[in-house]
Order: sequence, then C-alpha cells, then structure tokens
Amino acid sequence: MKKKCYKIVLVLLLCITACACSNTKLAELPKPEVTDGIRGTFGIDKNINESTIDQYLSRKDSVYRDMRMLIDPGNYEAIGGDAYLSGFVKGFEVVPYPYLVNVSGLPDEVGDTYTGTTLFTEEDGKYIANYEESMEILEYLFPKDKNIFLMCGGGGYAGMTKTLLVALGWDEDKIYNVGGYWYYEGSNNVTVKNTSYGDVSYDFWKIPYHDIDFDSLHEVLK
Amino acid sequence: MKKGILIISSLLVIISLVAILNKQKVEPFYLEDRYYEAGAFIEIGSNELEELIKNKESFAIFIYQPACTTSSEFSELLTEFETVYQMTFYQIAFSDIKGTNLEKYIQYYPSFAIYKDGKIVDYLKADDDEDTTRYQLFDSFASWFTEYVLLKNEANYDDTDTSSDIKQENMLKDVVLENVTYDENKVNIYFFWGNGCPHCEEQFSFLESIEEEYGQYYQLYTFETWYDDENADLMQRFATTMGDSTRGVPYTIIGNKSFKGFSASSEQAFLDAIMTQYQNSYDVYFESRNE
Repeated sequence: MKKKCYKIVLVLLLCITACACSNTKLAELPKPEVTDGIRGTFGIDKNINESTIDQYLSRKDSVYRDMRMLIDPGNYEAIGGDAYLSGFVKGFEVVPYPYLVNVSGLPDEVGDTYTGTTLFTEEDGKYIANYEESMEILEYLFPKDKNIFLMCGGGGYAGMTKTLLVALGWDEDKIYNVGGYWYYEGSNNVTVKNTSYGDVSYDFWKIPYHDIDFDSLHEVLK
Repeated sequence: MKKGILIISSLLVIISLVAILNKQKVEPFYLEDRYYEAGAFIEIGSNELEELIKNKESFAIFIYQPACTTSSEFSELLTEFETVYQMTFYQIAFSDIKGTNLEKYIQYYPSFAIYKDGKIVDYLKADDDEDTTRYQLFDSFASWFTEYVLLKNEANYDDTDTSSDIKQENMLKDVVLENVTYDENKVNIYFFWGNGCPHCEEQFSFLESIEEEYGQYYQLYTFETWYDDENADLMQRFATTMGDSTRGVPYTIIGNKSFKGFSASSEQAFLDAIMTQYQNSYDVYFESRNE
C-alpha cells in the first residue's frame, strides 16, 4: 500500500514538473520572410504580421515596438485623414521613428512630418549618431538579445526601423516587420480615440510611450 | 430523381455562365468628362464615395493613408500620371473606407480602383506580386490603367500616321549611332530597356521566341537606360521625335509605331508592326538625320 502511494506521488510530481517545463518553453519563431506584392517591398513579414501577431504576443524573449508618433505634425487639413495614434495593439510600446532618424519623401501637400532633432541622421544609407547617447538609447529600446517585433500604421516606419537597426549591427533574423495597425483585427486592440464626451479626444495615457528628451542628451561634437 | 438531377445540372450550367460573363474583359471606356482636366487629387470621404457609386459614375480612386511612407511613392507616380495625361483622380484614406463598397475589395493600402458606371472593374492589390510593378513603374501602371480607361485624346489619335504627316521636334538630327544600319528589306526595332525591369525581361523572352520565324524581317537594336545615362537621354530623344512623352521602359519603336510597356496583349501588335513595315520601312533615326 505504501509503495503504491509513493508511486502515485512520484507520478504526480513528474507530471507537474513536465507541465512547468512545457509552460516555460517558448515556441520557435519562423525566420523573417517578406510577404508578397508591394507589401513585401516594405519588408512586411509573411508569417508574423497583422493577422497572426496575436499568436506571438507576451513572449519573454521579445520586445514589441510601435513606431508611430502620437500626433503627426503633417498638414492634415490639406489632405484629410487622421494624424493621431488612434489605437494600438496591446503589448506594443510606442517609439516614434521620426525621433530616431530624419524622415523624407512624404507628399508635398502634407509638408514635412517631424523635422526636429533626431538620434541619427541618415546620409547615403549611413546612419550618423547626433548624440553621445544615441546608440545606448537604441540598444535599450531594441535589445539585441531579444526578438524585435515592429509595427506602425502601414508597415513603412517599421520597415525603415529594421533597415536602421540592421545597418547599425542588429541581427536581421531577429527583427520582424509585423505591418500596419490599420489592418489589425485581432483581440488585443486598444482604442485611444474617444468620442464618448461629445467631441473627439485621445486617451494617450493608455499608450506605453518612450519619450526621448533631446535637451538632456549630449551632442556629438563635429 | 431524374428530375432532381436535371434541375441541379441546369443550375450548375447557369452559375458557370454567370461566372464566365463576369470574368469577360471590360471594353475600354471613358471616365466622366470632368476627370479629364488639369490633374489633381480630389479628397473624399465615405459619403462622397457612396454618392458617386449611387450616381453610377465612372471614375478612378487612390486609396492611401496620410503621412504614411507606404503610400508616398505611389502617390508621386499617380501625380505624374495626372500631370502627363491631364486627368483627375479621387483619393480616400484607408481608415475612411470602413462600411463602404470599397471595403469589400481593398484589404491593404496603397491601392487604386477603377469604377465603371458605379461598379468596380479592377483594382491594385498590395499583396499581389503581379501588381508590384504597377505601383512602382509609370509605364506599367499606364499599361494596366489604359486596359480599362481611354485617355481623352485617344479617339483622335491615328496610329497609322507616318512621320511625314506628324511634325514632331527632331531631336535625333545630330545623333550618331554606330553599328546601326538601314536595310530596305528589314524594319529596325529600337528597344529601350532597364536592367532589372521585369516587363523588359518578358519582352526579351518574346523577341527571342520569334527570332527564328521573324528574324529575317527586322534588325534589333537594344539600349539599356537605367544604368547608362547616354541611353536614357537617347530614349527621350527618340520618344520626343516620335511624338511620345514616355517616362519609363520598356519603350520600343518599330518603323512608324511606338509601344510603351509590354505584356502578352502586346505580342500580336509587335508582330503586325514587323510584318506590315519590313519593306522600305520608315525609320525615325535615319529620317531625322536626313532632314
């Protein structure tokens, strides 16, 4: 009888241990692979994108970054549309790409987006640090030992972020362009746009946001 | 039982016929007159879009998202097209198409949709490899667009006119092309292409495939333009002298005919041009130098 009890306890202990081990083991990620069409030219991933990202959230070996600005300073009265970050995917933290590198190439009628100081300046495909802390900030926000999931409105800023990181030495196989929030229909949507008070306001307090205070940084002497 | 099988078979035949009719190619058509004026985008929202559809209008619309870099390059291409061909397109933010007729079709932006009599006839898909060059290359987009939409001056354009009837600026008078000769029993084909241009590769494959049967009727001269500035300038000179305002490749001249772009539907036109012009053909280069 005693032997039988010991055996049962042993089996139970083994089962509990097995469960604990399986819960901590993370599924292997597919290697980054661009999708079809012009979306592929932006670097949007074939396997991990807006329609599948819910399966890959909350991984301890990964970070999730949304590269949009809270409010884009472009001239939206000229062209319509929404300049605000009106929603995001839970788990993603916002790091505005225009704060990392100078942006160009927007339609003339919009004018320029953010044109203030940036951590880096891009010239002929090379990224030159403007501040002593530039690389340190980048390494902090995009840890090299983690998988990095990038998202924005349509996949453009996310793709440009990957280009920046890879040019500065990050492993391209650990970075995924998940695509655009505008296409996301999963179950982790967080709405920021608020119309419940009779006007339109934005609950930016919901957004995990990484501000970069350039006044506190030290310019690289050139 | 037999009656049941007969009914089901009849239904299947009807469904197949409907599917076939729906897939039939749309004959090229004109948009509403007011869209053939000085090119500029007209920004609209969902209500205006629904009104256009309700009124059974024929129009074209660009689907984009403001300040998004994924839209900006295609926006530039469309702006150039509007300017060159004096057309006006609508544009609508992707975030505004929810609940509209467009939402059924457009999954990603940028996109571009063509409507005839209030019904969508075709649109560009951002996740389809076949449409990639239509987003990136002017001539590729133009070739696709003009499969459906007539440009305003097409009805007046007679492509059988010879150069003696059309006075175009002669930009080839001082050009000297070594190794280009004139043979009164062959027509010269001047083929301008780009290294990496997929439609150019298709055209090369086509020319290779016809060489055995038709090679006796033409002489082929090719000029790479994406990495050779001199050839790019030469293409503009040839095009201007032919009366064309081309922006991209492939661009081909066969006798007195010119072709912008290339696709399967171009093949017969190429062969017709060769076979109708291989004897004592007009040659834009030699005619220009003789002026």
